[in-house]
Amino acid sequence: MAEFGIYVFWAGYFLLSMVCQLVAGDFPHGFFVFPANAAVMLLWMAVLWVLFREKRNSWLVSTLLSRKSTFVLLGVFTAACIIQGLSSEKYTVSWWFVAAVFGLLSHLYLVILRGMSGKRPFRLRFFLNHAGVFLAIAAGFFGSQDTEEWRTVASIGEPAREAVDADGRVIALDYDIRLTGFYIDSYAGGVPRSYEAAITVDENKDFLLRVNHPHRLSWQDDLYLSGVGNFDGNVTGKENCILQIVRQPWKYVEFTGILMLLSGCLLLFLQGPAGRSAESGKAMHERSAAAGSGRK
Amino acid sequence: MTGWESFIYFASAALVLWLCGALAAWKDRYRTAIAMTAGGLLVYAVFIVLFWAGLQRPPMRTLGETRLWYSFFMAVSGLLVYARWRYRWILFYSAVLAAVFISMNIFMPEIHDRTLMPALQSSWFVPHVTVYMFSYSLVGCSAILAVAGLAGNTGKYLETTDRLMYIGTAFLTFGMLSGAIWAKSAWGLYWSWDPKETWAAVTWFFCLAYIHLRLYGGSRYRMAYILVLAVFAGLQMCWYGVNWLPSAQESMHVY
Repeated sequence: MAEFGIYVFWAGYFLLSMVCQLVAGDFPHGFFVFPANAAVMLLWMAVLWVLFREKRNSWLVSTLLSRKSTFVLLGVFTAACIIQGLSSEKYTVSWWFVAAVFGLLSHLYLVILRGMSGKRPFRLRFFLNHAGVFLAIAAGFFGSQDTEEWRTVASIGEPAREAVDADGRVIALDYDIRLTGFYIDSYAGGVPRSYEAAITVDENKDFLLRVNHPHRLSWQDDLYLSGVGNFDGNVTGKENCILQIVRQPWKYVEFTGILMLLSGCLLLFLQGPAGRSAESGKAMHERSAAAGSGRK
Repeated sequence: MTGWESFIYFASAALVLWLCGALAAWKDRYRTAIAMTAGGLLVYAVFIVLFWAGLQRPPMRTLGETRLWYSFFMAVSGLLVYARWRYRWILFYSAVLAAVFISMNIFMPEIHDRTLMPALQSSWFVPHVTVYMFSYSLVGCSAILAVAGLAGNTGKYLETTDRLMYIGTAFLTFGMLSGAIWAKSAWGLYWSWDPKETWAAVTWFFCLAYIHLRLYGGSRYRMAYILVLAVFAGLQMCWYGVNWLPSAQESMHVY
């Protein structure tokens, strides 16, 4: 009966998200810019922490922490990713996709709290993997509205002071970006092997910009050499290049999550199967052998 | 200079050695099986080295070049599983799976040029691709065991699939995260729900479902095997299946 209740809870949760999608259209993500997103995230984490501390045996917390919920949420999130993977449409801003991520994050956070509670021995691999996934997904989820991408074309002699965002809106740049030189190394036949742009920012910072090597403009802004324009294989001095400015203040949280997950997967490799997984496999193997399953 | 025109000779020699190794394994001749398979790997590795030198860039850009690595690592994984657990049939299946991808490269040749676009000139290129291909081969071996387990209605291969899937998941995670770090330095974002990234996430979540099922799912071995096959299917989708989807036109992973 308790299992049935868990399935009903999650079915109702996702049904509600679909009703919201039908009634209101996509999730109103524009509201979740800083500081609203950070406030909602901290409040949500605090509420779950209080629920875990004070109402741990309640039906809600038990449901959110149950193993059935792990499988339901992994299944639903995988299904959401498959739908997204098969389609050209962006579903990541739909209510049901947001509900899947939010449900997964809530479950993951409570699992981390339970795993790290004083009653259990500290397990480094568990902590790195679960907290790493949590930080990486939470930073992408809550920080998505603080992320901005702008593109601008820089030509020699003409400073770029404006850029265009993904929706085609023109914005004034916080920086005065000048292209002072452009160097191209080509394969025989004219296909670019590599190219570099000599850039001056605000008249006093000179550097070479290359693909895969962004330049840090500030703690939240990075400058990228995105492409080469107006290039026919011959260096004429009239080339221009496409620059990309990415503002992503949550990148540090996301990177921390990635590093933790990388450390966790190293332990996964070194330690191999753990707990019941290894025991049950071995026991099953022994049972099969005892039953006279014969040669391998 | 060694190019694709020489591939058929090296691949045929390697394949003959792998099949001889599989036969020796079937007849319980352990040392011969190891020596033959290792010999085949050496022949194949020589081709890869010469091909790499001839191209003057890592041979990892095109689908054909990744198939080259997959068939190589498939034989490596089969050899490792045989050396550790001595399933006498595993070398045959790993050789057949490697042969399928070798045949694709021989009978469905693609145009391979030597150019390497600037975005691919990164220190992440080689580890990202090789780690992914190695994880694909480990999952390929797990899938062979899963089919054997389902056909024989037995859970006796679970200990091996557990080990392969744990190592495979670790490598898959490293491949996915190294891709995310590379994407940040090349395109500005760690994750942008590009079709290839989305299918990588699908595959990774199937891996997580397998690990959690094995931790908490008791003795439901049929479901565990089915999840291994789902991971295998996800990898094929991520590797080349995604190219056939309408969304592939907008993918940043089309080179």
